[in-house]
Amino acid sequence: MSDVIPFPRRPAASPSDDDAPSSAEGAVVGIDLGTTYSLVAVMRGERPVVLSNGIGEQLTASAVSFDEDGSVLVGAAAKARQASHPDRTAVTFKRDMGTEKTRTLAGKTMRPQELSALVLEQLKRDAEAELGMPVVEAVVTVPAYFGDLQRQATRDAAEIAGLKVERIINEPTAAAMAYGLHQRDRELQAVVLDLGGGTFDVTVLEIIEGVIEIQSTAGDARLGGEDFAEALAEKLAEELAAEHGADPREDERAWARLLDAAEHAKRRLTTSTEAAMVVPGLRLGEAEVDVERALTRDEAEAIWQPLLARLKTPILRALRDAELEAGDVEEVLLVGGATRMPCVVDLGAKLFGKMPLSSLPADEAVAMGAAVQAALKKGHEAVDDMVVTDVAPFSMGIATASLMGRQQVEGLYTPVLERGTTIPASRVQRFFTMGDGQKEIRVAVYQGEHSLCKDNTRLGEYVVKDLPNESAGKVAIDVRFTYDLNGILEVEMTLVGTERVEHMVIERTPGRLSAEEIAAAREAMKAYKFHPRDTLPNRTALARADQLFTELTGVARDELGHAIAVFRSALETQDPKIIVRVRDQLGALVDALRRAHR
Amino acid sequence: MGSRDAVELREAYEELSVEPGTAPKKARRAYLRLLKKHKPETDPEGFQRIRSAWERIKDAPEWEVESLRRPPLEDVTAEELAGGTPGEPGPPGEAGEGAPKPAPSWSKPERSWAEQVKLSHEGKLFDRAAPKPASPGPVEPPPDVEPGTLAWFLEKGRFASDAERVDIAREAVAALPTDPEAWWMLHEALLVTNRITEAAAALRDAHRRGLEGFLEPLVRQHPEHVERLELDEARRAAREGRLSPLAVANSFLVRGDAETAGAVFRDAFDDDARAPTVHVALDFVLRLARAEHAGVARECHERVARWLRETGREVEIAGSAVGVTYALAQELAALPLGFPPPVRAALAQAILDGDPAFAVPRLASWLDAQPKETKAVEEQLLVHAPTLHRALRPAFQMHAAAEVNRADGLPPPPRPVGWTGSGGGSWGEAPARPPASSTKKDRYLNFAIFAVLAVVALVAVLVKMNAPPTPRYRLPDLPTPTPPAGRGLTSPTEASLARMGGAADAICRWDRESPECAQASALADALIIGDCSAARTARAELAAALDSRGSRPPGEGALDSPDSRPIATILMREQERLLASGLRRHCAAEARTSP
Repeated sequence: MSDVIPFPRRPAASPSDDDAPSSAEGAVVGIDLGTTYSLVAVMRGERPVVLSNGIGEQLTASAVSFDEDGSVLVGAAAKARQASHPDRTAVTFKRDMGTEKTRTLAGKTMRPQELSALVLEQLKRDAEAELGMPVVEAVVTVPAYFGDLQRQATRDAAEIAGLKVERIINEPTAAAMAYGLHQRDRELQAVVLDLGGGTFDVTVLEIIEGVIEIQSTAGDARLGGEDFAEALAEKLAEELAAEHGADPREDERAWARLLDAAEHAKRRLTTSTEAAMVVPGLRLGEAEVDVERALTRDEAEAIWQPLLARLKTPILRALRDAELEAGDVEEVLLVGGATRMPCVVDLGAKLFGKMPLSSLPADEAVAMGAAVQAALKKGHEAVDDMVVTDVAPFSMGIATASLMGRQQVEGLYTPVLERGTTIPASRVQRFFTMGDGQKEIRVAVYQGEHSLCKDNTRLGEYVVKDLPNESAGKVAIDVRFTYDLNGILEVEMTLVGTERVEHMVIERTPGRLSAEEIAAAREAMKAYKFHPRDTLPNRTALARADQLFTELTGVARDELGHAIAVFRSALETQDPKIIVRVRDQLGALVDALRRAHR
Repeated sequence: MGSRDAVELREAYEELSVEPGTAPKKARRAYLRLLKKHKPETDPEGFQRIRSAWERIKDAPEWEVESLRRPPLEDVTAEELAGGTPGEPGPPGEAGEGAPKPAPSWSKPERSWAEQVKLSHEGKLFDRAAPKPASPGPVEPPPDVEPGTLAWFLEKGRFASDAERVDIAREAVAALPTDPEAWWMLHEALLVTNRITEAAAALRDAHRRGLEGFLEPLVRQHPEHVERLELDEARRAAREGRLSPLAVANSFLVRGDAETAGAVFRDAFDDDARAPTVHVALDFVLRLARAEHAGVARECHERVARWLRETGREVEIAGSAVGVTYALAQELAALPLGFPPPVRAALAQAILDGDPAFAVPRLASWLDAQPKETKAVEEQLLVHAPTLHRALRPAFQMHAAAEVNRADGLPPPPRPVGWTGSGGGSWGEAPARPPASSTKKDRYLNFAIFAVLAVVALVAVLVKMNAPPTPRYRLPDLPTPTPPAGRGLTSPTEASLARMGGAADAICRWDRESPECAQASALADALIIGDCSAARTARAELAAALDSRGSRPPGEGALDSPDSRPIATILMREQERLLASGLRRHCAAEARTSP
């Protein structure tokens, strides 16, 4: 959708280096699987480095599109096709992870795990091309607020992509690690605010005695930069509907264009106080309207007020969990593209009373941190003396019943292992029978923070049978929860007063793909043809040009059409030098036209 | 919330290789340094060990950490409190006044006066075992002792009889009215001869003369003889910390003034240095309950609970035997006002003796005497005191069994050995005998009738023999067993909510159809589910309903007649106050936690 990304294009890293942590078979990388963009990084010597993709960029759009010939496009090309071929393209499917929602593209019904697997596969290939060696294992990041189902879905995606992913870490923890890597001789109390495309995470950490201690995490899984763009698009859509009687939100294509324009306006407002949402030839009902809506920064911030208010809640909760006041925080670190927005920086400054820092590249910090974690896991010497302690991202407990007043109330949630407990951790709680002669106790394991089980996520169930025949309250079981660094929950139930112990490991939960389903998806994945890497820059350039073509009208459109035709014929020559020259010209033209029409 | 594996605080410090009692900040640094050796990635078990140790230290209350630095305080048993010996650490200021100095004694001189008072109370001061000289009686003191001094009187009474010693002591007091030792001598002598009233009077006179150090022993040892003047003084002194508040409270209690006793007791907790130990405090509360001063007991209990929470001593209780007593005392205090006093007293005694089950016989006999109250009592126990109910269940079962058997005309089921409850009422009658007859014809007729009856009886017996051998009885209805796990002993919030339910029930008992009942039930239910706005509405309606009670006639099924209406209203208002305070507590908490 957009290609005006204000980052310098870094040269491709040289493939010759022996410092990447590798297992016997191949390299271990860190992957930031984001809602809008994904990155892959690896530890090089003392520093983590983000690897470039097929078109020489470090950010790969989390978009999947099927080309006309059935090959799979992942990245900028796919994102560009979101506007032109929405029925063959999928974006922002990270939000569907952990649910049963599927998308249909090019006639294929795909689950979010499969879509994410395609992105992971692309990243894997790009990394292999850069490093010159196979990539077998990765550390993947997820938002801190991701529940167990979503984490397992991420694991599934990795498995489908043929990547061994043992460790899933929280995005803000990763950012904290990237940040703390070279701060370990300092002692400070910091907060990381990670506002990505789709999620917002807050982490409170302390660096002390060379240890990075994560103290608490909180977040909002449905709040990101995209929501800010959407807010602007919604406002514009309302105005258009009132003015023209037709709501652009009903037309998929029109809405996609509006969102794109809003996204550009949002980015523009980061650097200037004025911007405009421009959509020439927008289809509204029967008519085609040239939309040009000017917008000031103040007006945008007024529209964004509810979103900014939502940002405060996780921050305050994380501080409360860590038993700190805002004034105790010494450094505020901003991570994630959306934190470039001045209103977000202001919010951070107001809350904490000091200017937030962006000492790491906002988009790359998480991937860098994942690379650090990968190195830690493998015992890389650069991080030999580094110690990081993380916390459980959510509470885990079981369903209980209780005698309240005159009735027996069921479906209550009693946490056994609270969120914010430093992991790996083991906690035990005793539970009793509720009735005389009760023969079995049902231990239903849930994850979440709500007081009623129905508002939490069910992870599994186990029935302890053959209890001794006693009156109510005389038979007890000790339920022990052990949660390890890989996010695996083990439940151990001991019948008090006996030697009897029962085990349950929460790995495969309802809603998660079964082993067969994963194997089937993996097979299907192998059948996909990924667009060849060497022709990817051409394909991407074409896609971007095509997208712009659909948006333009008049003379500009004719000129672009001519340039595209020139490029297509250059492709026919199969001469790389000519192709590169014409491609660059085309790219320049596309940039110029875009700039002119903002 | 799940708990960590129990780690002794001392062990936690040792795990981190620091001195026990080190401040948590320093302990944390030790933990962090050890982390380098036990990284969570490479050594998860070692990591969990040091992490548990650090968490144990981090969450330990200040007093617990401090206690590792200094030796533990002494404790005081209930007997000492009742006996009134100053074994507990005295309040500040007392140390100067009651400093042990050698007191007059007819035996070893180096004993402290404290010891001697204790001994004199037990009557062991005078060496009764020691052989007396052949000629008992007051002797002339040796000439080297100056006459008129204390020593002179002591010598005079050395071989005298107890009765004579009293007179000698009186002489001494008359001669040396400002010498406290003389008064002690008199007190001792009177105690030994069992003239307690006069002994108390002696202490009182000494105190009224302005001599120091007599008030406390007076209050402690002779609570029933303390007069109002001294009591008020003692109460003032307790408040200022010069006297032990518990002794003063005990004094008031013995005189039957439970209200003041409770007030003095509660004052004791305002200053943590003066507060008694946990055992002593709870014993006092239980004694109040045992003496059937339920309201005062409850107030004192609440004060103790608050003090425990504020000073963080709750942890201390959890691990010791006091834990059981405390939980049971809490439940006992939670029983509503309408709970029958004899049962409450029996329960208090049983708890004090160590096991609530000891009250089962008393309860069973009470139930037999008042069968109509059974359901109400059981409900109250179920709602407010579930643990006590579980312990007392045999009493209810036996009573229910007896009831059913009585209805069937059978004898009651056998009671356990040692059962001391007296059964009330008759247990069914013997089958009717055929009337005796005189004439032969009648006799044959009678024989026939008798034969028929015998056959009928035999058939009945056979039928009953085929029935299950044990007497049939119905058990009280219990909740149906359900698979989910139960939480066990309720938390304070749940206990409080249970009380709300009980309060609503208490209001409804008078008149189920009344608007007060409806609103109270709505209020209790709203609190239980956490709907504060509905609760507030219900509360307002309840208050309005109560206000308009006077103009409304009692309903059809109402318990309150025109005679009992005023009482009913008063009791309902009490329940309403309980509900209101519950509303404040639960909904204020809600207001605080919402963002």
